[in-house]
Amino acid sequence: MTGPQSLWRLPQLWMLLGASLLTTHAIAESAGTTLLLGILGGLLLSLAGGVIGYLLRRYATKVSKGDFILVTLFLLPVIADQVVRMVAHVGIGTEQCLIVGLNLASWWLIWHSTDVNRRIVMLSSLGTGVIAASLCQHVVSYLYVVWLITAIIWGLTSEARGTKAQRNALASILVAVVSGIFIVAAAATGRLAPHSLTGFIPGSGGSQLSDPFGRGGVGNGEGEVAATTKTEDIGFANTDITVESDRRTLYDAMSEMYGKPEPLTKAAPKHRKVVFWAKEMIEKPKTELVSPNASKGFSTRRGNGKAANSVSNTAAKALVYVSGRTPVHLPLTAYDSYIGEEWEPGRTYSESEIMEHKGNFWMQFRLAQWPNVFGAEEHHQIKIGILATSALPLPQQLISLRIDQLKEPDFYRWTQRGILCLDRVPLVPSGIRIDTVTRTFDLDKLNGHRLTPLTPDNRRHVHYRVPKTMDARVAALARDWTAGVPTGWPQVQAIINRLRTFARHDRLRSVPATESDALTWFLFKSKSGPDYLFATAATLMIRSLGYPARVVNGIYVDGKHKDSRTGHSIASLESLHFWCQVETEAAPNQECVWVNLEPTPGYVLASPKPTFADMARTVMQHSFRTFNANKVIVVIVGLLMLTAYALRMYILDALYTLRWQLRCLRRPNRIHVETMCLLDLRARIAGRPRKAATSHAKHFIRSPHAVFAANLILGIRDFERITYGLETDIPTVNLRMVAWRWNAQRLRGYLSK
Amino acid sequence: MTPADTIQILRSSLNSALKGKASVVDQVLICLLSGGHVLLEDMPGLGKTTLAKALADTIGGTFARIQCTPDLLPSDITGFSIFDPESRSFSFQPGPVFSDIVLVDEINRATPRTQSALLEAMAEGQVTVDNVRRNLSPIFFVIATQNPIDHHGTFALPEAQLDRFAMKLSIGYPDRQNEVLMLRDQPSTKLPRHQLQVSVSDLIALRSHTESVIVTPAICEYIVDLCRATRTKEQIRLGVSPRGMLTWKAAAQAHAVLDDRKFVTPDDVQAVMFDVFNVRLQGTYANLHDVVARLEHEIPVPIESQ
Repeated sequence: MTGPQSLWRLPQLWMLLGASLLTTHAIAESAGTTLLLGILGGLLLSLAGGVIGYLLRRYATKVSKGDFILVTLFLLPVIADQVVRMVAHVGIGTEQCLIVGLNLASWWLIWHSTDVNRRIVMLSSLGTGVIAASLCQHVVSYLYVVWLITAIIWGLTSEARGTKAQRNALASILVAVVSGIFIVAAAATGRLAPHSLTGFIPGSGGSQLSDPFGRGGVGNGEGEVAATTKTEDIGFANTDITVESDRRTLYDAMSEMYGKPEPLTKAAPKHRKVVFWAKEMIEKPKTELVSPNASKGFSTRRGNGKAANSVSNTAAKALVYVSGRTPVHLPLTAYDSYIGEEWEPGRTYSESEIMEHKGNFWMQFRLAQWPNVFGAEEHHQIKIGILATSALPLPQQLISLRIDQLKEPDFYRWTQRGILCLDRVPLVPSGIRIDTVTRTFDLDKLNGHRLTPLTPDNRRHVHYRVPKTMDARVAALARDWTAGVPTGWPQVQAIINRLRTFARHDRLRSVPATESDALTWFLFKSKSGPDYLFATAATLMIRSLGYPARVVNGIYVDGKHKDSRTGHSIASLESLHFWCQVETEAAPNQECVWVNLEPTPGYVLASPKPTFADMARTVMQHSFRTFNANKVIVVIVGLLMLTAYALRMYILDALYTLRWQLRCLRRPNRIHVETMCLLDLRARIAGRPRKAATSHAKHFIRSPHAVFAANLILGIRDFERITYGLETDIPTVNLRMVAWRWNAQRLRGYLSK
Repeated sequence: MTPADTIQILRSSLNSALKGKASVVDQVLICLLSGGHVLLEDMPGLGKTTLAKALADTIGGTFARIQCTPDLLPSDITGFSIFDPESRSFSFQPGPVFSDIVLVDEINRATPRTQSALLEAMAEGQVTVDNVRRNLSPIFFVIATQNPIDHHGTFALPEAQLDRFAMKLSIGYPDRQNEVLMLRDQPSTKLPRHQLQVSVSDLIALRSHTESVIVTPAICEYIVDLCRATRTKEQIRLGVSPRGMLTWKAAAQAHAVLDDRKFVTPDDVQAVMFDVFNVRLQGTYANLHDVVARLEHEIPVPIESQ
């Protein structure tokens, strides 16, 4: 039998069908359409490809080599996408069009089923399947990948004997392993496979990987990419234009978030001129709140903060937008001195030669030589929204930095140690985008490092200073929490960990006016309060133990709020946060750095970015834990799988026989065809597959007069009489004998002679 | 006499004449049963004449041998009319082409004009001499030969003429054991006489039986697919023509008859493929066996009737 029916027996057709479904599923997922549409799209693509291929094969016989058809089919989706974009203003990514085109061209090739064409189809299915799988997250995509893997293994192991079968088996294992990595990576992390495998497999412009061999990003929508080596590929292409009057200074933002510092004084209404597009001037009345203590300090005694449900639309009022791994702490102000009940910001700090231009507008920082205490490098992009700030909101431990096309170190200045700002620019312009490469401390590995020691020279240093008016119970509590704990980082960690469970975070709670000391009230009475009280308590308790610490205020981006289109994390007013930092040194007399600590429950420090080895270790540890917790089930399942593998030939044989029975029941007049199909299936699992171009007689009748194979020979002869001799009165006994007596095991022995 | 008996007699008779060449005998019988003609390309002295004469003796038919030379005229083949002065009329003298079995030695030595006269007779089954159409024998069978190495003074058969042959065969040298048997059994060079065993009518019935062998639509499509595949290969300049396709089908039917079957299987089609290709395919391929193997591999055999 030739023509369309025989194609269904080709594993390459099933590969192509799986690849087509996976391709359209990836497109549907990226476009945000429903799963059903994705499946329908896949079937439609396959149907369209099949029909086109069939029609061309039947009518376009003059085009013997088919080069023109192949090229046309490959480029057809790209051309069609451009037309649809012009007409309907909708479209898909160019790379998606290309893999659709590859699928269409493959459908034409499958209709001209030669050895070479089938190999090409297999390779193209594998290629488009891997690309499409890397773009999918939905669990259905994993089913398509498993389908594709199964079809590829089927194709590689069919019609192969001897050493070729061994080579194809190895290739099958390779395919399964590579495809399995994508599935495991995506399933384990819940993210797109290239993002999960960043550093191992660079994604298509969206992996944020600084790879010297990586190409420029091709787009992830309308220009939002995260490539970091070429300025033209930078993300945040759509810059939100903000109105000047909507920008909030950090002081305004904190007042809105945590409540006004007491006491309050209302000033007379003022009018502020607002410029909009520089073309029209409108007058907008605005009442400013002025506090007599309106300095840069932060009072721990404040009015009522803003409830969460009254925060305005975060998408329109985002302080900053962040692209990259979250959570991330972006400090803006560091507070060194606790005077009265107010934290005073640190002094201005400047250091020459903080950085140098390393090319492509990247500024490289001088890095302290640390032993292995960091995770892998990671990339973030921060775009300033409505936040009016002079300090740059940057993650800690900067390695390199890029802002637009600024390439002179003089543009930058340390406002405080660890906090950078733009020199000569009072406020960072809204809409500006900042690229950073940073590294994150692995706190567990810091245990062996020394905190900047308390010496007679630095005893009076501000970071060690505890207010004289601080209640002695605070220091006693700190000593109590660290009793028996080794000095240094373990004690610091003990304070932090204890605080996280000791009190409850309540952002809206403020210190009653009747209380004389905010810290004492927080630690010994309320045991609940906003994050700045947690930071205050942690800093002062750590200082009381003789370690340098400070409070930091900035933005905490947890990644829970994301822009629906671009996927970037949004930092709103709720993202304002206080935490503390401790100073440590890489080695004696080496440079000191501030390390973030998070004492407030509900907020977490970013863990070091895992390397591929870390991820693999995590997966293995998770697997081991799962195994440990379910030993019996795992062992039973494992034994069952081993047994099934050992008996796979018999199991498959039984399934095929059942299939033969059902089909013969349904259509008894086709028992001859079904029996030969059963024989073919058994020969395949016996490792002696029949080639499609070899007749059953030639393949299965080794010796026409072999007595032990008499019923096999008779069965095949009966098949020939029915099929080619059109005889209708042949009894089916010989065919049934073939089905019941010649199982795969027996065939293997017979055909190997 | 049943077809199987006829075939058995033919086989044994020809195999006894041409020892150790059962496959060649079968191929010749295929050509005979399918109504085609055979072209033997082989060295001198391998048994071509012996085969032809044995075949003629077995069926009790007439045998004629034509030794082609450049001065051979068409009339030397077809016959001519001569004037009888006594009856004052022309009488037709039939040429050797009117025999049942005709051996045409070194056909490539005859001029193209002479070749075309013979080939026209092969195609039409009749000759026209002096405007009178004369039918040839109903079992008219031509065994043409040519030397594969000596091309001096020869006129190669054009492709169109080659297409009239069913197969191109090569007898080849017998193996050592059979050569020894030849010497032991035939002390002299005198050829043995064969007894009359199969009649012309038996052969005609056998041919009719061959034509009735079932060829299912699926098998027809299979043959068509193979033929069309020969026309699209880069290495093949001239593929199988529709006439060649019909010849192929007839040869497959004859092969089925030799296997004592009343239907054609894909194996029959594949069995005669090489010999059918050998006479009509032209191209730049180095080895026809490779071409055949590749084609066999590409086209799946049918496993349903239609």
